[in-house]
Amino acid sequence: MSLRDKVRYRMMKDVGLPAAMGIDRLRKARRVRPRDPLFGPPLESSGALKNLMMRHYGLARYAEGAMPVAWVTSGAPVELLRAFGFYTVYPENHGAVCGARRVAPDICAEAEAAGFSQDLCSYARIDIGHALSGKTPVGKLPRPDLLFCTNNICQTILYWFKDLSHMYGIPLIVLDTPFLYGEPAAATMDYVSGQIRDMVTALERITGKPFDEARLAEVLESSRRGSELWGKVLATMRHRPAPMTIFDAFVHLAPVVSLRGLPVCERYYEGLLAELEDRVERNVAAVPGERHRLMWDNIAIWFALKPMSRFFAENGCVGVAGTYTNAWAETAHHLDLKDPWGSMARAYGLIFLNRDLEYRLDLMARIAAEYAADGLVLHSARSCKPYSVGQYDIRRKLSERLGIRTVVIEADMTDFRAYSEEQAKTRLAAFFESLEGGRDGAAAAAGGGGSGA
Amino acid sequence: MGRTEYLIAQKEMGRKVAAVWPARYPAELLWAHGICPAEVWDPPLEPERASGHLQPYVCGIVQRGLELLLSGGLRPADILLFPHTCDSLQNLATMVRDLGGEARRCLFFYPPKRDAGERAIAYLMAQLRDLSGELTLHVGPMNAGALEDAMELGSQRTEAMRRLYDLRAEGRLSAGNAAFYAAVRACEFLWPEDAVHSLHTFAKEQEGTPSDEAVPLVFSGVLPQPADFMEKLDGLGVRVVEDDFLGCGRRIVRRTIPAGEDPWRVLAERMQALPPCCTQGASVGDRTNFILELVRRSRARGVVILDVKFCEPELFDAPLIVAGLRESGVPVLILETEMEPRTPAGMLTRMEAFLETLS
Amino acid sequence: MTILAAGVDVGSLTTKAVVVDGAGRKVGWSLVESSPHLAETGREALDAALGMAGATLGELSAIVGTGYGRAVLPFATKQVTEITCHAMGAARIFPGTRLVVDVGGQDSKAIRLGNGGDVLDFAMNDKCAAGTGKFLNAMAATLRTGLDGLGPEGLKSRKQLTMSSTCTVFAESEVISLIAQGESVPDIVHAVHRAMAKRLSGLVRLVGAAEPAVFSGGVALNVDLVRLLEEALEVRFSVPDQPQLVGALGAAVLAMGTK
Repeated sequence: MSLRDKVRYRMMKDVGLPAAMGIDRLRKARRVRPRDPLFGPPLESSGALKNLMMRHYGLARYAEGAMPVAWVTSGAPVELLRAFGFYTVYPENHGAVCGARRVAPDICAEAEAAGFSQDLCSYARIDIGHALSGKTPVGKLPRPDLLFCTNNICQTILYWFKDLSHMYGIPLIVLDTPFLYGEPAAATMDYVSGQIRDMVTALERITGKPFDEARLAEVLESSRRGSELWGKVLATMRHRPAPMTIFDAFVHLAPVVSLRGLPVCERYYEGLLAELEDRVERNVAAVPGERHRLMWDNIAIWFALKPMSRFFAENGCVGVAGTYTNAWAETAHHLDLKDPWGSMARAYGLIFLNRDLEYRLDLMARIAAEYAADGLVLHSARSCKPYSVGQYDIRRKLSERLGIRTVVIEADMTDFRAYSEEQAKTRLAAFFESLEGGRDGAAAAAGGGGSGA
Repeated sequence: MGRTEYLIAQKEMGRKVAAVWPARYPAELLWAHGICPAEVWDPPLEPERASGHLQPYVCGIVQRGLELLLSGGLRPADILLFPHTCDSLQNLATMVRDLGGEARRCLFFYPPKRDAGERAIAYLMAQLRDLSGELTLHVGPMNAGALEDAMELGSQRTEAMRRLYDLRAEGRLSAGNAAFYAAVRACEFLWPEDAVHSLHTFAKEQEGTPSDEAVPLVFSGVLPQPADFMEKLDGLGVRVVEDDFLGCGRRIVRRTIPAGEDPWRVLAERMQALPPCCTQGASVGDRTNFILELVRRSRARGVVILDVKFCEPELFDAPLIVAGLRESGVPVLILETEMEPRTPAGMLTRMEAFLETLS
Repeated sequence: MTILAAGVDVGSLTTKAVVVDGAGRKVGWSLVESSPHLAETGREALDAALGMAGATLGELSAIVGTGYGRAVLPFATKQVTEITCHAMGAARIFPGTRLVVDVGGQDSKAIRLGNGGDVLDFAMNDKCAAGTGKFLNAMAATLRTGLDGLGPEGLKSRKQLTMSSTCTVFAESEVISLIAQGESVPDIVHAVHRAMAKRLSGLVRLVGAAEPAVFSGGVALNVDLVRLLEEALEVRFSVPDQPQLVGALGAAVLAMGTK
């Protein structure tokens, strides 16, 4: 860490980036895009979101050397890192950006050339490919000083981050959150909270800074508030017509994932929520032709958000709910300043991806009811085993239980080399047709587009 | 006696049978409860029913295990035990219990995924007690002293297995690869006393000098698959002299665990003393060093990494381990199997081409 | 009497045989379509090569069998894998070769050679049609160019299209989409070639690109594809006059070496 780097970081944060982004804004303001008749007015907050994330990745370039840098997984207790002043980068978010910019296959190929199987998670292949080649669409990612991961979302991040630790020669801190078949045993929560407590000691050693309890309390509070605001943002989609769609939600998810615990995250969602509540009051629809309301299971297909969104809208369908977006609003309420270790153990150990399929079914049924969803789209993501394995049965069970139409589309979050747009569209088209035919309680064997077998 | 016959005989003797999925679990605890574990790694079935439940990108071990269940092959099992090994097996477990109507007999176990020292031991011990509680509900309590007896049997089985591996590594075993793995893998379902007896008999019968012309290689990976691959290697003049297979050599404690007062603690320590494994977060460095040690002790001429397609824990480690081995001057071949019914020609060609580079 | 030796490369689609003299020069060769009776086909190919050389089976000092059917040739004195044979064959034609890329009808391989022409490392794709001649066959059929017509068509391309699929089935449907969108055959063919070159470059990078490099196998005659692979890897490829015979030549050279 050098004084020069610290000064440069501050300069970029306070002066350089705002100026660059201001100029960029002016340049873009002159370009007027014609309104797409399928959709309502675009969200104004989208501009602020873009700036927020641009600033995040922009600052990231200057963080190296100015402050300790940590690469973090989406389900990790980042609040601890904030208390120690780390600049955090989320490779999963970077992966999503690469997916959206359609550069994933190119970066993955770097990992594959080094012998990593094409069957591995594409987020991981992007990250490893980036580590090997430096390729990225966001300018430059700061080299990490620390890797920080939690296996509540999957075991794959454990293998992935362990590889990075080996490749970069840097420490890895792992929070092992045992998968829960049923309610957690006391011993399990003790194991998790005990590890969190131990992390403080490890972080003190790594940063050379003493643990600041007051700062952690601040961050926990901010984290909880940011997550609650996100939950309210999602809840606006319960309104008929929905003021935004699940595809918007995928995009606006970024702050609560990457910037959770920071004031900018809370401020952003305050703004977005205000805009959405205003739309709800004025009945402004994201999709004026809203006829059918759909729930989406699994991560987004980042490289196909726009075409997917259009295809939905063309058929009067609006995605209004999702299990993935819901995850960041689900457990934050556990966070409690009076019991930091235990409450973080609950907030992170109890996320739905870390729980059995019966829990997931109940959760999905509840969400479907709350959002009045009359159809379910399951994205069978090749990269994501914990999310995708079991979907065929979940689909059947939910179809029976709720009497709704369902469809499975085979894709991936970012790697479109193994994606057939034709196939996906055919299944969706058949599914949309069946929605028009009305509910009848049967599993979509005839009209749902078929499962992947 | 075939596996099925043997397990039926166990049941007739009054024991219970548990179908156990890969990979690491406290066998001693099951024995103490009078349960004979029968591990489900690679039943010789093609996934037909299973493909209605699992996407094609799920590994063969999960596909076949589910196929065995769906075909009724596990009806005689009193318990289905799912240790937590990876994402796919994790989800298979909950699918079977929650969506497959098997709630009645499913039990779970979670080996820690990181080196958390005393915390991991404490967690393991708590889980062992909880599991014993569950087993008690299913099959009744342990008899007094049963756990200590089981621990002793466990020691004996480990000793017998280690001796067999040592003989092989030292070049004092004449058995071919197919015969060796048949003997080792029989322990996936044998009652411990029978396992110990079987291993001792095999070692005695096979102690001798193997063919000098065979090329000694260390294998790492998941399983000796496809089913006829070891036989094919015998035909090619390859001698597997040590292995780091997830289902075989990687489950043998290679060092002596000090005896302790508390059998629960000793059992937990034994589990933590197993060789480094990707399914438990072992570092690439530790795994590479372990394989290098196997090469050194067996004087192998190279390493073959034999991974199962779609096996994430293995496939993430493989490229880095290969690089580390090559940096140490060890020739390495990487093979991938989909657990085909017969070894495909391409796999044999790669193996032969590798041997050609060694000659 | 001249010393002669032979190599027979029995593939699942075609079988090749080469007869060499004591200096390792080709004096006879043949290429026949494989039948399911591999031993017979092998013999047929060998007889044809012998005929060209004006020699008989008895005059051969050794015969090396290679390829998919190497284990079933009763007349072969030795079996060697096609990896070692392709390396040997390429190094014989272009001494100092460090990299061989062989793309046949059913598989593709990348072989890294050391100083002495020995095999250092290899990578094969024999499971997935994409990246093999089969992929090109399928595309040639969809585009009605004939396999030999692909190269010339691709060279005429003036517009860069992108194909994203690496799966043959998906790629076929992508090609049909492109035709429906009114894209020209040369442009589509060039895009198909680019997709395949990308795939092949991935295979090569597993062993490491190096020069001098040789491209062998029937697909080597597709100039457009070879050029695209050169661009992707930043490596110049030499293509032998008879690219399909490289394996059999290498086998024959090995046979000559073993006396």
